[in-house]
Amino acid sequence: MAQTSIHHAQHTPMIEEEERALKRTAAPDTEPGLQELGWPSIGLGAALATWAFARQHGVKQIFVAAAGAGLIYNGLKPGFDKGFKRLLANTAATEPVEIDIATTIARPASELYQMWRDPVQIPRFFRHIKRVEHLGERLTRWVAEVPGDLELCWNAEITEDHKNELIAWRSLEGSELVSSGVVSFFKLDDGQTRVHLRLRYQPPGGEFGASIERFFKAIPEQILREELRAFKQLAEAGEVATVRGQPYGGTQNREQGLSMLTNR
Amino acid sequence: MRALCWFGKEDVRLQDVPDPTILNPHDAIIEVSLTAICGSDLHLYDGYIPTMESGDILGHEFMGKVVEVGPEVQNLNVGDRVVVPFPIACGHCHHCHTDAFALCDNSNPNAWMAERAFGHSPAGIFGYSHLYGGYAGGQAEYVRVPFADVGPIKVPDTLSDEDVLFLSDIFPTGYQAVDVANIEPGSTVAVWGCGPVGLFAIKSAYMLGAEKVIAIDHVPERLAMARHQAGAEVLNFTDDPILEALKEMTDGRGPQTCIEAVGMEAHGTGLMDYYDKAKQTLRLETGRPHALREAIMACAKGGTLVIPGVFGGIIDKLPIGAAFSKGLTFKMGQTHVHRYLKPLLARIEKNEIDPSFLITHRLTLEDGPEAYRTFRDKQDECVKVVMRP
Ligand SMILES: [Zn+2]
Ligand SMILES: [Zn+2]
Repeated sequence: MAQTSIHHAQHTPMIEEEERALKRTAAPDTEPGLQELGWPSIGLGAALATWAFARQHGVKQIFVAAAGAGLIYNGLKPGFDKGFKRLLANTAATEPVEIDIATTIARPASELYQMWRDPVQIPRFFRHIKRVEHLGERLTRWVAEVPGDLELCWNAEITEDHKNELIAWRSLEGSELVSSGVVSFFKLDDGQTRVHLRLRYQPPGGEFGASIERFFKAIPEQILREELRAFKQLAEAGEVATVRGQPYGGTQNREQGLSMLTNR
Repeated sequence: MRALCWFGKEDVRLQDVPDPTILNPHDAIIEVSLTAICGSDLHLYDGYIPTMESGDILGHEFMGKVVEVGPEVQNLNVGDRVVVPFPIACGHCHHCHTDAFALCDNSNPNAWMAERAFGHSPAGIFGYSHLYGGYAGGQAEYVRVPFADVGPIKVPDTLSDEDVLFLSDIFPTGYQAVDVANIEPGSTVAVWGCGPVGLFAIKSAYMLGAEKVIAIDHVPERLAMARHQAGAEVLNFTDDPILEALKEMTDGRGPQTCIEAVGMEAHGTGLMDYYDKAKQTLRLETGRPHALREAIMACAKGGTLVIPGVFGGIIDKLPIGAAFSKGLTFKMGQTHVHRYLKPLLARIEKNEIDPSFLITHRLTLEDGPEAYRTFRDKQDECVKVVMRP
């Protein structure tokens, strides 16, 4: 597609509005890591339990084991409260990433705005999003798929909603992916619409697995670029171009070797 | 079904592959009745086009009968007999709206790849590498056609397959080469290359008002065809010094319109040709621009140079100073086939042209692998191969 490119739209009328919205929509604090767990309590509990099981099984041992289990539970409690995956993700340990992409679409802004607000449509072009659940007027729950068959969930709140022009949002506290963003729809003189997407997020940290961190640092911009392209294709042509599932000669399985970007 | 598949340089095989299915709501499946090998397929055969994958089904010139349509197809019905344009176009993007179908924004699933190679992505093309989308081609019994409401044109039963097949590429390609040059009545057009595109360009030039068309090639039977079937004055570049001859034939001015219908594998003579061949073999240069250089030198001041042949990558030693000093206009690119389907079908119906004149070989898909070699080597007086599945 000709128009997907990093956009330095310094002088368009929308840009100040976007800047303001992006500043106001900053997501809450980054999420803490495993240091939140009560490690002394877990250690002591584990020691007591080990002692108890190493001895003969008397009444005294049962009490000591129970006390040990209680201590372990107390140590792990922040994990139960905040979610282990969240603590593993430890976004406090990473630098935020910003993505800024734009495309030009030959459809009216109102129609594109509607598509963006429709939880049913979103997974058709945001292909890493498995589903979007409508929780309330300005509240949605997002479930994304990331490599290694993992799911990331977050609740998002729309912080600004200018009909047919601009939507800004941020993740709420307790999200597995801390993120915020703004998308604007600007009517151009030739009747087309410029769609400008700016996204800021905190990649999950090292404790979540180095490969996931690498994925979140390098790939999302490419994936988002393709997803914005899919949005354009869906809006203009009513389908996303693909050759997946077509015949070819030979015996090797080509679908396996194809990357996420190739031959969608 | 059976299909001609690419397995590497000079390795085309007839394979049993699964039948194509509807993958998108605007798809149709066509049962191919006639298909052709194109000069640009030879670039694939010779391994000059990158991003081919072993097993890719070839072919972008084909026609046939609609046997299945997707749920959102409205203009086509099962049983319709259609010719399919080689570029795939969505019909709804900015470029499709301005009739520049070969520049469609939305039909290349590998647009990111083309953006890396070219800066921006052109339309997807049937059977022409993954850079152009990786679509399975039509040298097969069946083929999936995306955006079936936009591309295929229904053809009347009064016309035979051979009458209309070349609407898929070479007739519109030769016609567009002249159309975009906006020739003035009475002007002279020179055409390098008397292959199928060159021959259609010659015929189109006369249709659009050229007074004289000069054709340049070195294959005797092609020159004969250009002279006798298309009415051109011909020059054989192995005998004639082309630049001097062209000057002489145009009273010193040079042809106002020069069409380079040879493409990446132009044959020349002399030192520059060895230089190009060596560089192309080393993959330092992906085209052999001998004809293009000559066309720039020959073209009249203020003239227009059109490049309908396929140039895939990088060429060098182009006399850009000559083009600049003479104020030339360059026009190039893939053909916006959809734009020409109706007017050219009308010309065929009115008997203004019989496009089948250049068919020299009528074969079947089984003959395909052999036919590629024959066509590439220009043996057996081969100009155009059509195959019935
Ligand atoms: Zn062709
Ligand atoms: Zn299009």
